[in-house]
Amino acid sequence: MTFADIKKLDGAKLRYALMDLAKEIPDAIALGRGDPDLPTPEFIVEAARSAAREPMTVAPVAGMGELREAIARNAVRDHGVEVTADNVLVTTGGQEGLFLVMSALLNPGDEILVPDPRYSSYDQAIAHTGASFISVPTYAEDGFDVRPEEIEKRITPRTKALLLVTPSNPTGGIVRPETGEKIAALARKHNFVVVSDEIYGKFVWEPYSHFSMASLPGMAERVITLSGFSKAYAMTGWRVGYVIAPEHAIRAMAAIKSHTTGPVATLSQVAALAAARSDDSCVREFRATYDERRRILGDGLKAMGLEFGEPRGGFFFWADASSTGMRALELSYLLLKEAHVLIFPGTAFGETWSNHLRITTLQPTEVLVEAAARMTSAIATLRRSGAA
Amino acid sequence: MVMSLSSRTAELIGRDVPPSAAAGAHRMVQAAIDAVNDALDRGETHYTDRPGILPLRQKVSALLNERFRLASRPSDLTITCGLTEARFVCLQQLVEPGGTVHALAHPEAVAGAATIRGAVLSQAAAEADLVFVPASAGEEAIRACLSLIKPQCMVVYEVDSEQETFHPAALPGLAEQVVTIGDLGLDKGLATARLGYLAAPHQSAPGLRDFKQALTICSTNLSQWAALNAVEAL
Repeated sequence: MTFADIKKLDGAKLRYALMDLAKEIPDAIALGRGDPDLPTPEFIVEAARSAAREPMTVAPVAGMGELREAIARNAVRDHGVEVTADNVLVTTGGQEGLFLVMSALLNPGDEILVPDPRYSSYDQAIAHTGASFISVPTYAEDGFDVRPEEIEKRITPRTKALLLVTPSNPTGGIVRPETGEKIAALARKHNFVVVSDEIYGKFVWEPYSHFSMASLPGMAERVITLSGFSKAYAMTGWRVGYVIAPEHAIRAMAAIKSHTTGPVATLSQVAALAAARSDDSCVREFRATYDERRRILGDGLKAMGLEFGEPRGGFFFWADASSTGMRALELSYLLLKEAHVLIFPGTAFGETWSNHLRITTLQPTEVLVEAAARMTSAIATLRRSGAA
Repeated sequence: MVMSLSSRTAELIGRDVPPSAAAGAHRMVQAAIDAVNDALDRGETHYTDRPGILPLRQKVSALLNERFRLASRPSDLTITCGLTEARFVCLQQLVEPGGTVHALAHPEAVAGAATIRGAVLSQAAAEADLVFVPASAGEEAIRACLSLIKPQCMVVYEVDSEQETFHPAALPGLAEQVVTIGDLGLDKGLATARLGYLAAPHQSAPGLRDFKQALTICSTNLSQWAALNAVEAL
């Protein structure tokens, strides 16, 4: 695929095209995809090995009862959300969860508010319902938290829902509790549903902390929470996510799920159950590792002269590359071809973000150092050439 | 209730797709268990390529070509989360909202997916934009059905576990209109692994692959390695 081909793309297609290009470069360092490089913890792997030796049954479409119960218990323990197993649906990764939520909620002509920039892999799920998304701007000076007044300006009689991703992919911003309370008030006033994707919720960096939108007073009945095991336990390939919602919505989504993919693989659910029943000490270890990487990559990006706010959560930096004098798409392509480092341009997450880059911390420390050195060198050459 | 749901959900509740696997416990064959352990030893716990691991696509493609004398290519084949996802992706991607679907048999297998797409089921094959053709309907019935379809109608052919060798792509003019779907490894104790495939004509393959990626990103990593070692026939 040539650069001319790449230039025609945006959203998820752009990301996948760049990933395909990177596969052709043997020593490419991938700082693109949000796939934790760390191995799934050994106790989870062992649970799978043990289960594989024994006969297994196909799970119910909504998920194994024990897993649903464990997820519900954790929601009560971690977020103070009063739910039971009947409020939980196990999904084939968080991505299917979002598809099911959109299918269950949205009718043709409905509108869903989506902060900009956005995780564009969700676009298809929204478009497929015949609904449309309405962008809500967010700002670097707010750490990409959402401004409630920007939400309210865009509410119409067709507004059915607001989709939050907190911590945000791609920006690393979070919805702070005081913002969440204002959003909750808007949701009650204008009667819309809040869909809160909290899959990065276990990775929020000090001084901030994660809170769940469903934990706010009166919101459990109008919040649908999306999450999963992929990011928290380094389990992307196992494909286990979940949705927490009012019981009637779970029944509806389970009915839809019987037509989309049916039950999640039993072995994966057994592994997820081991994770859900754990004391999360493995997550604490992961947090320390990712936090260190965040500091190292942050230092590297500063050395390159890129501008960014410190991510408040998640695995991503959202950096402004304007100072290089090159559009982010061209810069991403150049860094892949010349420095052999894969990063994603901002236009993969929103049409107007042509100066931004999304860069992940999901490589070992020494690889991040090497990636930063390569990028620094390439950008320095670029600046010397007069493009900057 | 505070949270109102979409109109399509009311049509779907109580119309679940019947499971294609037999109820009860399934023991994976030893080759699959070994493959799971080997994959875990190698750290195969991450996303795979979105269409599925290449060796499994090559294997399934070769098995299809051998059994049905097709010219399917691994690059046009996508590994899915069970037969259910293969059906669903086809129904969402190959029919437009308002389009018409005809099921030669087992309409319950695609009725829900058609509803989600906003398509309608029709008793008349001649009206359909897509026909769903399970192999279990039999060659004679399939030939009769496909003799009626419109020139651009897409055909979703669902392979079953019998050693059928007839394939609708062999019929004149249909080679570029038939998508082949199936389960993987039900006879190898892999029902719980939830793995299937769809093999598409070259021009339809990218759209199907993109939709699958948007739905589930990729199929379960370990299931794919288990199937690679265990599956010997389709």
